[in-house]
Parts: sequence; structure tokens; C-alpha cells
Amino acid sequence: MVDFNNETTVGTPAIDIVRVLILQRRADLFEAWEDYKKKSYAGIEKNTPIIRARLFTLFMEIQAAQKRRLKDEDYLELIRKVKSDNIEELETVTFEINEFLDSIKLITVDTKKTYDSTRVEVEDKMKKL
Amino acid sequence: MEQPTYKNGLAFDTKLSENIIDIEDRIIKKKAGLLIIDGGVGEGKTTLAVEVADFINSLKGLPPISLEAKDHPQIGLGAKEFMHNLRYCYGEKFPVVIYDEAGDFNKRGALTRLNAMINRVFETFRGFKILVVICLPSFESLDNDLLTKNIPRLLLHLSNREETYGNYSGYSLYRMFYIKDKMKKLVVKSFAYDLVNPNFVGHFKDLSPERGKQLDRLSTKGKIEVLKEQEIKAENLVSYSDIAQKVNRSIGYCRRVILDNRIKHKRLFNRVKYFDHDVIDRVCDIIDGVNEE
Repeated sequence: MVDFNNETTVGTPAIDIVRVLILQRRADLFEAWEDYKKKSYAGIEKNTPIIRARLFTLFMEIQAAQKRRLKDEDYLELIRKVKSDNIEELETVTFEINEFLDSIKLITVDTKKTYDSTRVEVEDKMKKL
Repeated sequence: MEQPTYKNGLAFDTKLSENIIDIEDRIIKKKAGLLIIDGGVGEGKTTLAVEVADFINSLKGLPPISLEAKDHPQIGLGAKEFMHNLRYCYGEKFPVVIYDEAGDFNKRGALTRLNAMINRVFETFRGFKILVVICLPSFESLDNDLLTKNIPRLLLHLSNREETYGNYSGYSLYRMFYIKDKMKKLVVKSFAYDLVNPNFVGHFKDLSPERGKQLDRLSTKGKIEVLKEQEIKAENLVSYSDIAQKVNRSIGYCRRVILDNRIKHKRLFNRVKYFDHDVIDRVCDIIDGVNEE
């Protein structure tokens, strides 16, 4: 977790710290999911409280943004799913949060621009020539 | 007989026509547009240039370009004719003009002049809304300076021409930089084209037999004139201006001396009289004689 007394952190804008925190919480959530799925596939006892707790804390990081972006009914539905103990709903909400993080370009990995390379003007425009 | 075409009704693939339309759009926005066609002897550089020019003319509702030996305003054989035609096309609002190296081949300093000319053309006629098509034996001849100014927009490299059709590879400006760079390190410069992937490849058909013959006549005319010029140089003949330069007198003065002394010229080419090299000595003697008197 972030050390707020660290010299580097003191000089870092809050938005960047929050972004790192979100990524950390997301990684923790994935770890919990991995653990759950391993047990699930092996047919042994499953541990949903960890997933629920981690999903909730991740949601807390982005809750204000979600409230701003979503319609009231969608927002309330999302909160209901986050608090749910139904594993399928927890899965769905994890996907939704993932998609939201992708939409704000926090976890976007396919950043390479694609273009029609058979059109020389399109290529040169992409290369700023 | 009509121009042989593909299913799209053109003498070349649709991909090339799309790229030409893109360059035309750029030209309408008053940006420089230079299309380079390069390839070895007999690959069909001028043929493709004519087909491209016909296509651009057709986009503007104009007829195919004239290939008459005495009237070909949209083809310049050599730098001098090209500059004249460019001015003419600008006045007549023709959308495309071709520069064919045929009239300049083997001339000493032709490449330096070519680069200077292209630079001058695009500095003077900036925003003249004419696409310039240049036919060259090798793209290597062009200065890097032109590339950095983003003047060339498309390079069509021709190779492996067949009996009834030719093949081209199209490269963007971005890829031209890479070809140039590869050429620096290679002994056989043409290998550079194989080291850079083209943006597109395609074929083009020959001109109709009638237009093909016209083009042959036109192209040969340019080359024959240069050959005659070369022949004159080989024979060591001199013109009035050469004599004037040697004897350090004006051209008018030399002309008068030669006329007064009834010295006959040996050749007449392009309305210029050429004399034996000995005439310089004779003119010198005459000038010395005048001075002594």
C-alpha cells in the first residue's frame, strides 16, 4: 500500500496515487478470484468473503466517479451487486468495474493505433508527415 | 483501338486510383504533391505516368493528355520543357504535369539540376494545385532535403515488366525514408526496395497501340535531340556563345566577325550554328589583327 510519508509520494499528484491504489486493489481482487477459482475447480471449500471484501474496497475507490457517470437506478443496482453474496453477481460486477477502468484508459492495453496501410496518405498522416 | 483496362475501367488497379484521389485531396488543400515513378529502362515509367495523368484529367472532366510531338503541354521532356509546361498548365488550370527524364539523360549535372528544379518548383508554385509526376531511373537521385520537406507523397517503383502489363509497388513518404536509408548501406541500391514492405502492389496495362506509338515517338524525339547535342559535343563543335566566352568578347561582336569573314558553320541544330573548333583561333587572329591596326 501507499506510504504517504514517503518523499516520493509527497511530491506525487493525488490523482496518480489514487490510480496506483486502484491498480493495487484490482490486483488484490484478482488474486482472491484466482484463489476462489482454484478451489472451486478442485471442488473444495470456497472463500467468498475475501472476494466480497476486496471487491468492495475496489468499488470504494471508484464509487464517486461511478455515481457521477451512472444513472441513479444503474448506480443503485451496482451497489446492490457489490454488496451481494451471489458469486455470479460478484463476477458480473468485477467485469463491469474492469470495463469502467478500461474506458478511463487506466488498464487499456491495446493502445497501438491501427490504420489502413494501403493508403499512403493515411499512413503519412498517422506518422505526421 | 481503345485503352486496355481492368474491370474497374482503369488502366491500373483500384488501390492506386484510391491513393491518387487521396493525393488530389491534399493538393486541393494547397499542399505540395509529387508522385515519383522510378524503375529501370523499359519498365513503363512514362506509360504509367501518362495513365495516371489521364485518370487525374478524367477526375476533372478533361480529355486524356495530348501526346502529339508538337503539342504536349502536360509532358515535359527534360527540365527546360517541364518548367515551360508547368507555367502553361498553371495558366490553363490543368491538374497534372509530367516530368520525364528522357530529355536530360546522361547530361552532366542533370541530377543536381533536377533537385534544384523540384525545390524551385515547389517553392515558387506553392499552392498551384497541380500534381507533378516525375519519372526517374532511380529514386536515389532525389535529395533527402525534398523528403524532409514532405514534398514526395507516393513512390511507384516499377519492376519485372511483362509483354502486356507492368508491375508496381507503392511506397508512402514514411517508407521512402527507410528505402533511402537502406540504399546508403547497399552496393546494389535496387535491393533496398526488397528490404522495405510496400504499402500496396499492383499492375498496369499498356497504352492503346495508337497512343503507345505516339508516346514512343514523343519519348524518342527527346532522346534524339540529346543525342544530337552529344554528337555535336563529341565532334568538338562550338557555338557563338562558346566562341565569345573563349575570346572574351560579346556574342554580337563574334557573330559580326564571323559574318564579315564569311566563315561557314558546320552544323545547324535547334536554330543554333555550330563551327569547327579552329574557328576560335581564326577569330582570335582577326581580333589581334584589328588590335594591331
